[in-house]
Amino acid sequence: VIVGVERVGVDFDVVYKNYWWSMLRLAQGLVDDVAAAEDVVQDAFAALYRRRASLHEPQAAVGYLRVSVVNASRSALRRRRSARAHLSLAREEHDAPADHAALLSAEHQQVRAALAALPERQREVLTLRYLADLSDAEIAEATGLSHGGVRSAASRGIAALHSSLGGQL
Amino acid sequence: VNDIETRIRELVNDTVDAELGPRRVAPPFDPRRNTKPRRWAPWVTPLLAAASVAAVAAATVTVAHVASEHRHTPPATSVAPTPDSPTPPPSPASSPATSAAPTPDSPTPPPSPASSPARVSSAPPSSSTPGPGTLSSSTVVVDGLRLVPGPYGFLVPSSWQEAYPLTNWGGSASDALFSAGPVHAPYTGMPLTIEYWLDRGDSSVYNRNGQPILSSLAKLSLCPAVSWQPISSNALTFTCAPVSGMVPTGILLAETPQQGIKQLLVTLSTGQHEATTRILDSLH
Repeated sequence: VIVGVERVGVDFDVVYKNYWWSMLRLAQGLVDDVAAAEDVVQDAFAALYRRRASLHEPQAAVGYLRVSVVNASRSALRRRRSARAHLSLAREEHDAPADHAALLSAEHQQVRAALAALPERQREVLTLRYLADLSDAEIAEATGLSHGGVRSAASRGIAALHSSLGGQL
Repeated sequence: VNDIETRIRELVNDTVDAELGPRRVAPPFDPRRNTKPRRWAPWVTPLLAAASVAAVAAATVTVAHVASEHRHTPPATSVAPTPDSPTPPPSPASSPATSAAPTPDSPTPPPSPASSPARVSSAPPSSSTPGPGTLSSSTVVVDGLRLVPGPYGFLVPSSWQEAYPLTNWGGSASDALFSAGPVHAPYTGMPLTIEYWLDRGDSSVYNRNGQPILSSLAKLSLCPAVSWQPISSNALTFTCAPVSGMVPTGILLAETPQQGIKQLLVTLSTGQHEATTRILDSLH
């Protein structure tokens, strides 16, 4: 859960300490790979670090981080798809450790499969809505979609999840 | 829907928490650590450079070959453009509509009189029964597309299919999609599509007197609007960033809060501007 931005200053170290975990959760929701999520968050904070002089408001810094995490996650997924194609790996699973699935309950695996089946845009919108508790306007800012696009993607995504997770709802 | 959303929210959060394990404190931040270089193997850059050189060489040979073939080809008598040649300028004897060649995704337009100055030609009245809803105009042939009244009160190309009918996917809005061919996610703004959107549950675009606020209305565009302009006190048109060389163009119409908001997003090729305009104008 994101900590209220009023309680942090513009100090980079404070932003890093307060938001690292929430950004990691967001990245994990988007890329479904802990190591890749840690890289995504590192890249996002590295980018913020380079721009720290030009960002004076903590809220702007958090918004910048979210956009960075979304963009870096898109790049990570794109690289993963490219790597699969070049290596002729037709399997759907990513390169998670062998015991990865065993550590998750059947329920969690089903949720993961349902999220993975969503188109990228819908998955991003729902992840930002449910993991980061963002409003439609904030999601639009983080993803580059319009408000209408966010709502459209969200409603389609919810309908798809409702269909695929019917037994758990 | 709220109960379902709450449950989905719980499931998503539980899943991510299970994947990440107990909450950790942030590791020491090292601004010099860059994760990107390790993603590229050392041989990737030389490989890309070699591939670029090979591609340039292949392109050069291909262009030289095509140019050589053109020198030996007699002049074509047809004015229809081919993929290898740019569209010829219209001859004075033909109208723009008759000189425009059909695109692969549009039907061949019926021949129109060569002397007709109009770009838009009305087809003979159809004897078929009109569809449900208010039909704003009759069948027309524009820019190589035969536009017929569709089921929701606006014109659609007759050869296109309804990818999905007006559907409520959740929330207060419903939408329908027409397309020239198969469609896939993300649907919105895809080339050669028309998306119709109807929302009867959004009060945020109206002021206290029930009058629409156009700047708020513009934010409801299905794709991020790069420009918009009002066309009346309750409607506006907008355009979005090009997709595959096509500019998604839309109209947003706010009726009373009870009647809701209608939106039409048309993505045709840039040469079909007139058809786009006719389709948008037909929304009522």
